[in-house]
Amino acid sequence: MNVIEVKNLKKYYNRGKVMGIEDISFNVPQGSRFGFLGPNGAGKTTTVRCLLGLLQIDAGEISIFGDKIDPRVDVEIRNRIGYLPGELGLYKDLNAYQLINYFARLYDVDIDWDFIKDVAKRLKIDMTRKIGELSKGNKQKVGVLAAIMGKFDILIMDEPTSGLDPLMQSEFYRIISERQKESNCTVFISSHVLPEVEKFCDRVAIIKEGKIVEISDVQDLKEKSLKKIELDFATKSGMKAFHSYLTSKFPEAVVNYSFDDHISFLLPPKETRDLLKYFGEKRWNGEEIKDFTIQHSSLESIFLQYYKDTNSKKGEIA
Amino acid sequence: MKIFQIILKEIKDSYKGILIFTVLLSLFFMWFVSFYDPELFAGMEDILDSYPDAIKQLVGDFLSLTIFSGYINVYLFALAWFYFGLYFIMKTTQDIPKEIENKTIDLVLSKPIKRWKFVIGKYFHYVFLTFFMVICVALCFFLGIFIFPNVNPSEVYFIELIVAFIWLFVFLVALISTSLILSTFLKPRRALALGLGIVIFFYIIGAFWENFDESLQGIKYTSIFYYFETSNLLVNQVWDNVLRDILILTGYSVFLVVASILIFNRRDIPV
Repeated sequence: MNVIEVKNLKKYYNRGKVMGIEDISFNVPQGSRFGFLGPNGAGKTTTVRCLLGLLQIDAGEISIFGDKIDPRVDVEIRNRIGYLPGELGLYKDLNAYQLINYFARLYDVDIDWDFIKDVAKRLKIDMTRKIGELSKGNKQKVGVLAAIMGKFDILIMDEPTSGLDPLMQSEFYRIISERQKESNCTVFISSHVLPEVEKFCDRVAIIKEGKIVEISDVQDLKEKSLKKIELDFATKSGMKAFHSYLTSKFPEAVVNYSFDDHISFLLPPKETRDLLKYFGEKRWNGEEIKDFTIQHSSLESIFLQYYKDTNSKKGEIA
Repeated sequence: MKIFQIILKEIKDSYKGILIFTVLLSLFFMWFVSFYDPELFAGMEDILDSYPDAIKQLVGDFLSLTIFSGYINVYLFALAWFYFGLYFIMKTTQDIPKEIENKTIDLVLSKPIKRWKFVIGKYFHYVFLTFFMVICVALCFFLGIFIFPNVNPSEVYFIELIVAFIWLFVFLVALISTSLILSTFLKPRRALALGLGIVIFFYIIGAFWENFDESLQGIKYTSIFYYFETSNLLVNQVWDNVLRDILILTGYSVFLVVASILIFNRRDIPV
């Protein structure tokens, strides 16, 4: 079951003059960890704010838990959603306890105070200190606490680890994982920190200029993306012969660099399989391959390729 | 209940400032009561009488500084919008725009709360504070009448004064409603500037409409100050139009609050 379904979502600003998002469609399955990737201005935050009813959509449909909703009107659904905004604004004159208490009263569901106290302890939040006196990282922790304060079915988090130190980042992901194990909640994370998303999320959507350019399981995406291949030869002439062979036989190959007896290049999965067939039998200037490594591209390199090459198509990404 | 939570939170946030302001205003009103002197003010009335009509209209149509109610009308009720109103205009016009600017509204409106409840919560917090302030000031004012020997309580028209305070409250709520609607679609500075501009514009119309060309005098009906004219009630004890004006001001407020909700419901909360 998809807990979030978005179809052809469109949002323009300034009376239709400035595009926010254009034709965004995606589904988020229940219990998944969905990463929503894109650089500044791509439309991530606009999409999230449309989901929460902070922005009025110009066209498209949003369904939550299978029901088509108008997020501005059907506010009851938000009893099941925890939200952490990318640009966090907290009431400076309240302390964390007062803030959570205030938000708790705006929900129609019971809030588990034991859980809140436990998370506050794990994230080392001083609940009695005024928020205005806290550092950026500590404010972010309070925001995280506010987002996960209830047993929500969906957690929507925009740059959740922004300002957190590495220890707290790990602790944050541990808490979210535990929460997900307990309640099978769905986690929707919008982020720039791609290694984090790669580690945590099982599915990602890449948004570019207001449109979704890729939706895939992280593993599938990595498997179908260009492979990074590095080869070592005994001599420079062997490497040069291979270089010529590669560029003539596999025009899709992108050579990263070559020097002495070493070459590094990117190749699509099918061509990689074809090339592998020759590894054992073929010789280049009489030389066989001395050593090789083949790696999946990282999510970061996949992501960057979408933004480097405007004509990229699926499968041609690195 | 959620409206109540918003009101409660807002009151907790602002009670210190309101308390200080209320104490100062209460003392100010008592101080005015303390130096009422019919003989001294008879001379002042003569001076004021010699002023052009336009100046006299600033403090109401019926001048009578030699009676306590007339004196209070000129110095307190005619300028009440300035004493009370400016504070609330500044606070109300800034409130929602500041929440948007500081991004605090994101977390509130991402909770299961309807936008109209948020607006009403903000609004009633100011209505409650205005009520509290007017009650405190009125109590201190009436206390002053009995404490200070210069005022003879038997010569004071208490019912008219009580009604004038109720009228003042309704008028201040109308000012707050005017500020509220601006706060639902403008940025903080613009909302404040426009709020002050509109109120001063209303005041000029309400005070000087009689000096306008006859064909333009109908503009007086657009100003809320036209519906807050306590001088006839306090000086002459004439109740004509009092209920009408209170109802018009109430209707004006209701209309603006409904319009504020409609505007706020439709607007985007930008990043």
